Amino acid sequence: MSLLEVSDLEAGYGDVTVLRGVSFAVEEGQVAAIFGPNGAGKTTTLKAVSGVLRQRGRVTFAGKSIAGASPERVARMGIAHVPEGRGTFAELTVEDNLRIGGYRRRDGEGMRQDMERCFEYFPQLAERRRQRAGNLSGGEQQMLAVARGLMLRPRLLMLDEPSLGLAPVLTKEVFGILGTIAGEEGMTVLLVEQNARLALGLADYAYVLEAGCIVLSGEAKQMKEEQAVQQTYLGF
Amino acid sequence: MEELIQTIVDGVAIGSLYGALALAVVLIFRSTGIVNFAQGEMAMFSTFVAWGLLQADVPLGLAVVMTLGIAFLGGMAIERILIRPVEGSDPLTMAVVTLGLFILLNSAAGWIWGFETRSFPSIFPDDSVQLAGADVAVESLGIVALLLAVVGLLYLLFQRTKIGLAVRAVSVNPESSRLSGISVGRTLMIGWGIAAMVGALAGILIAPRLFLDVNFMGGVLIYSFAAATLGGFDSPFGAVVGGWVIGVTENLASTYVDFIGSDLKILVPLTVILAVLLIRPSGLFGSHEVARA
Repeated sequence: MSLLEVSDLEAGYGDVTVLRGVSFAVEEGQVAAIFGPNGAGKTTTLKAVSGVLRQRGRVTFAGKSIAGASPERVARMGIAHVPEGRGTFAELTVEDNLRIGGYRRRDGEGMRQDMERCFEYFPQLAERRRQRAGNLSGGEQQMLAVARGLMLRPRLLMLDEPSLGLAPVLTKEVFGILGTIAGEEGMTVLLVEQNARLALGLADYAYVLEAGCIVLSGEAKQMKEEQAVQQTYLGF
Repeated sequence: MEELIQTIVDGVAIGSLYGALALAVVLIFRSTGIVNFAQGEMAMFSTFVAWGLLQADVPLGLAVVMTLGIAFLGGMAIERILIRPVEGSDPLTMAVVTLGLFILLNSAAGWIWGFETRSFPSIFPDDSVQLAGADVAVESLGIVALLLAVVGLLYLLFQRTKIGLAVRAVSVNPESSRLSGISVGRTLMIGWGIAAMVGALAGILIAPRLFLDVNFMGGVLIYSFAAATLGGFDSPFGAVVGGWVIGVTENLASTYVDFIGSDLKILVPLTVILAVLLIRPSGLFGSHEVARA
């Protein structure tokens, strides 16, 4: 059984339907990526899973249906959604941002350890732990967002376009650390990304989303070899 | 000299009361973006509850504590029932709802307790002490001390407790708070409860200096809005300092500027509001956005 199973997911904004029956699954301990062009419904997919948007269809997490659940309940069940735009608490300190990430937890000691571990992954954040998060650079805010997600000690980490607005060198750094986290901690990750090369570099399994439908899926390794993908998304 | 010291100390004391109500206004504005025009009436209603308890022979200290508890629950109920449905809608809608709440509480208090003027006892002894050669009322010093204690407690609550962290998180970014498992609705309820409690304390402290009737907080609310505007509408610290400035200015003006006297005192806060909005709309301590996109 997959950790996250989504089938026939439909969602949208007001009268506009964005997702038209999306189905995919994320296996425990793996990194799944959804990539596709702008406006395909990538962000909408994550929002529908985490309960930010109303949805129709089946969403099962660890064997339990979470369709229709509120975002706070979904978070408490162990899904950390790092939203597009990073969801930074700009006026609070870096440490407070991380504390908010672990808000649902009751193990104070474990949280302190996790915070130190986040600072090991992202040393830039450690230097600025008492500064207002709004003063961090875009890259640092992205790191903070990932760290905030980790503080939940999630069973599933959902990342929305971690590369958005970052310089290539920073993007590489963030994805390098994501690879370490996924490898070392066996973290299950659902990554949504416009940059197919980045997504396929990190993922075990990948889905291509176009105009609200999954048009292609497969092992990330094989996907890289596929001609259609190469032409459309990798720019060969 | 004595008169000056008395005027200033008394100004700080009454300014602390404006500051307390301003603090309640600021707490709600920060977390919800709502300017709560009913804050004064909520305080008035709470003070009447305390008065009712006193009529039922409850000792003053106990009546105050019970009233604060009731105000907390009442504030939470108001958020849940009246504010929740319009939360996040445009400022005009929310302003109209709090104005409606203003009228509702005012009429309800009149219906329950009548429109007569009552007297309300002070929780401080009617005594005075020597300060730099001037006689200063114990009440004045007590009010200032109590306000400082409230500010200290609120600081600890917001900076050191988990619920305080949630309130700050929700006021900065409710959407992202939800994704971390924070229940926004429950957090805002608690925020309204705390604000109602601070306002109730202000009402209980002000009532002995004025008379208790259904409209006694109306004027005070204007002074508090002036304090909050001066301090910067989203700064609790600013609300308190703003209250002091308004209180002292008002007292000095009515004592030393002949044509102002006690009749034109209300000009002071209105002038301050106008001046702040013209010269420095974000107030003394209000935040300018510093977020980097």
